[in-house]
Amino acid sequence: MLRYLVFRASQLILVLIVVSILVFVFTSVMGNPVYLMVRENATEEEVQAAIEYLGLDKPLPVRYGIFVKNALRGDFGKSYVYHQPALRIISERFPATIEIVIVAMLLSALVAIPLGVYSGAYPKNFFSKSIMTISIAGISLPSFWVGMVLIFVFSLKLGILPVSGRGDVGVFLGIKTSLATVSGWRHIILPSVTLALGSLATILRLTRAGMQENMRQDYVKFARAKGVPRKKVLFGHALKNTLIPVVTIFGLQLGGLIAFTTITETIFSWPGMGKLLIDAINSADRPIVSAYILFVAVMFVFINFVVDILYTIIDPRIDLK
Amino acid sequence: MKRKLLVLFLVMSLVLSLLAGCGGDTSTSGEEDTTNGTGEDKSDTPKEVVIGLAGDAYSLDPYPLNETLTNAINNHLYDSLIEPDKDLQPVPALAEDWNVSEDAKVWTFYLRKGVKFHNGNDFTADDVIYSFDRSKVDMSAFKYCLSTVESYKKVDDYTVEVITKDPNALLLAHLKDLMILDKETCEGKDDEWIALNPNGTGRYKFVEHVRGDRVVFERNNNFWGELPEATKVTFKPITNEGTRTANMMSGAVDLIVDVPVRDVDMLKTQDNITIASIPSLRVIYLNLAGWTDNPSPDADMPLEAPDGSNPLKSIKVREAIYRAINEDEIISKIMNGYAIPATTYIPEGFNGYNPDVERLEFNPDLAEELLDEAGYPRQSDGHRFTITLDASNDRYVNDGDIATAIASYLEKVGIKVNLNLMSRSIFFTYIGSTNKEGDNSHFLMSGWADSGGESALMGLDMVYSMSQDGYIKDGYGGVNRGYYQNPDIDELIDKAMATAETEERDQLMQQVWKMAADDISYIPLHFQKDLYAHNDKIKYHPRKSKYVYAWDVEFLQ
Repeated sequence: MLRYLVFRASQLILVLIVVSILVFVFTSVMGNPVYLMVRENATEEEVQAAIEYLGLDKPLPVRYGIFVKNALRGDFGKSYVYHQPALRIISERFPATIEIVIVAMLLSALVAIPLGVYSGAYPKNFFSKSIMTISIAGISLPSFWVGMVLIFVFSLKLGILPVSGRGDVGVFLGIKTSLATVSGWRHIILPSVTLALGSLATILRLTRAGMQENMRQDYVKFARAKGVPRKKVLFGHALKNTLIPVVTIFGLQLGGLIAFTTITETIFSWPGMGKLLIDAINSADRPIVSAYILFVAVMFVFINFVVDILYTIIDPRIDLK
Repeated sequence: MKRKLLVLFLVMSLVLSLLAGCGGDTSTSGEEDTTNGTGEDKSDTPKEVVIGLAGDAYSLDPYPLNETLTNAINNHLYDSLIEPDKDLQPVPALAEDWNVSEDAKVWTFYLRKGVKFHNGNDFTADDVIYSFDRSKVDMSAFKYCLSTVESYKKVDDYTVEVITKDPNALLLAHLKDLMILDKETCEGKDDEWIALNPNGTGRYKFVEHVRGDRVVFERNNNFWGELPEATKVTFKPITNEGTRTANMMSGAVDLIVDVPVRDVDMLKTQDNITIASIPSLRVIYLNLAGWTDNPSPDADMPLEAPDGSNPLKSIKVREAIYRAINEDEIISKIMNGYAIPATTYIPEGFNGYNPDVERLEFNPDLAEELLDEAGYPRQSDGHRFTITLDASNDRYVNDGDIATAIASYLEKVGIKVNLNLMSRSIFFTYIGSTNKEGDNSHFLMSGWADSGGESALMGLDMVYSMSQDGYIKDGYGGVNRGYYQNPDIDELIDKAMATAETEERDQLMQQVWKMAADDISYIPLHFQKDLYAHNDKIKYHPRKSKYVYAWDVEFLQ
């Protein structure tokens, strides 16, 4: 186990080095922040002063060196537009994103897995067939469209849910979260549903495929012949053997959702990280973009680590060594 | 199995505690905390207003960023010595009165007495000096305000003297941008702290700012001037246009800005929603590099004429381009009628506006004749010469569509146009006339708005002589992207800058705009109209400068 942890940690460092170089090179060609900072008709001196203030007068490798040196001390630079430390701005936004992602992932797991098990076990059933048809829609509908339709139906026509925003924030177990208030929940429903649709359909279809395959295996037939109850066969035997790919995808989806909720957050004016990223790109706010991408890289490595451990729990035959 | 579960549990709890750590600082709050801040559950108290903006205030420190939205929000918290009235003319704010010496060089400001900052500190000349100093530090985006100033000093607690380098009748237009911070509060603190702890003298006090979600202010009942009606104002950044409209229709906000042109008709059908529109200061125009033999040497797609000359040098060609563009059609088809044709850079009602200047009539046949006369007949492929139109596609209302339309109008008269559309984050660097990375642009569409309300400053930026190699007079002509040169105009602008008498300055600038138009030094297209929607609880009186103020909201009940 320890050896495995060391291996993972060194992997993380490698990923960070590669990602940081890529991010640094890409953000440095991503629009010029200087002209967004000074007024439109800035004089030569004003522009020059801004360039020096941002440290952009130095060559790229030197800037990278400074960036790494500061990053090692936990300083990812100051946002060009917010004039606050980049990491603080990102972590400020993190809880809001985590909220909708957790709700969305719970929603998709709780809906998708039972439906997947059912439609995998009874593939010829009419209900199963309709589930599959609907799930195609879930995969193929773009979230900006779904979001607008949900707003139109639930907020404008029915008037039961708010259009956008985060709602009130309450304190739960020392964490400030909108999941602790009624207004928070009312605000969270539409964005999480929008966010959940894609992953819900993916997980559903994956579960169904795995179930169909497993239901044909000898051990299932044997269990049924032995008289194991139907429920136990489905969830205890077949589902457990289907879960490995499902958990993998679930982990990737989770990471993807946390990192790139951009569209959903923009539509619902949700003050999370995704919206921050798109605003930062628009204003060429390089420190935010680079800190954000590094953050996402760390998160993906971490999620994959958790997924690996989950494998060994689901299937004891898997050895992390 | 149990050990693995334990490891997993430990890891998860580590993550959760990290989350708790950063969750603790999600909002930067004033004295009282939230739980009453959202939009839809506040209808019982009549004097609250929720405003849906197109973006967030980046910083509540007024100095690091100079941008309409952030400035307008900060104006609620802070005052300047002078503030603009509805017509953008300077009126007294923290300076009660001022006078200027004969040579327009020494300005004396008499400060208002008895003004308190939100935390109770007294406002004095020291605060003014401190704020002026702060506008000159590296991070400040307001260095230009005092760039023409030789020195400034405190005479006594309520008198400040400012001495300019050259005669400068327009100091006020710049000083109104400098918001006054409290020296006692800010001195010794770092910039981050100042941004999170705003303390001004303005009409509103800071309550909370949850970045990306809301900015909440309450009325400062000790304000030195007339109290605004709204006791509490909430700004909500709603960047998505459709969401902004939906918020308006659902009643979650009372007022929205930048109503998308395509949603206007739908909003009009709602009984309780009114659309307010006002011609803005934002002029959309074309610049042509007609005062150089070697236009845009670094462009990817250079200007190409069969004889190797620069056709834009000929006034006939410039007139032909002007006449080939059907501006009325652009306004009715692309802008849905929400724009007014521009005759010069100066909108009607602005000082220096010259009513004698008229648009050249749309006439493609005449345009073809002019191009023939100028020596650019159609070649065998039907084209006279090739130019590249640089334009943004996410900065101005429907800018990409307008540029596309212009390209096709010009194609009709035989000018081949390469359309070069780009995002604003690269556009302004690309077209910059003082861009060190290269001279890329010979024909471009851009926009300009000067909320300073001063024609002479517009002239100084837009038509003062500027050469391809850089400034002719340092800092003058910074947005003269066609390198237009006319010494007579320079002289008139210099004179206007030194003229304290408004009427006289107005006359001088009217001449400037006439001369610049006669030379077809640029092609004006239109002034955008700003669109707002509000419900029947309030009436909103928009400003030309697009600054959204809670005190422009009138409550109807």
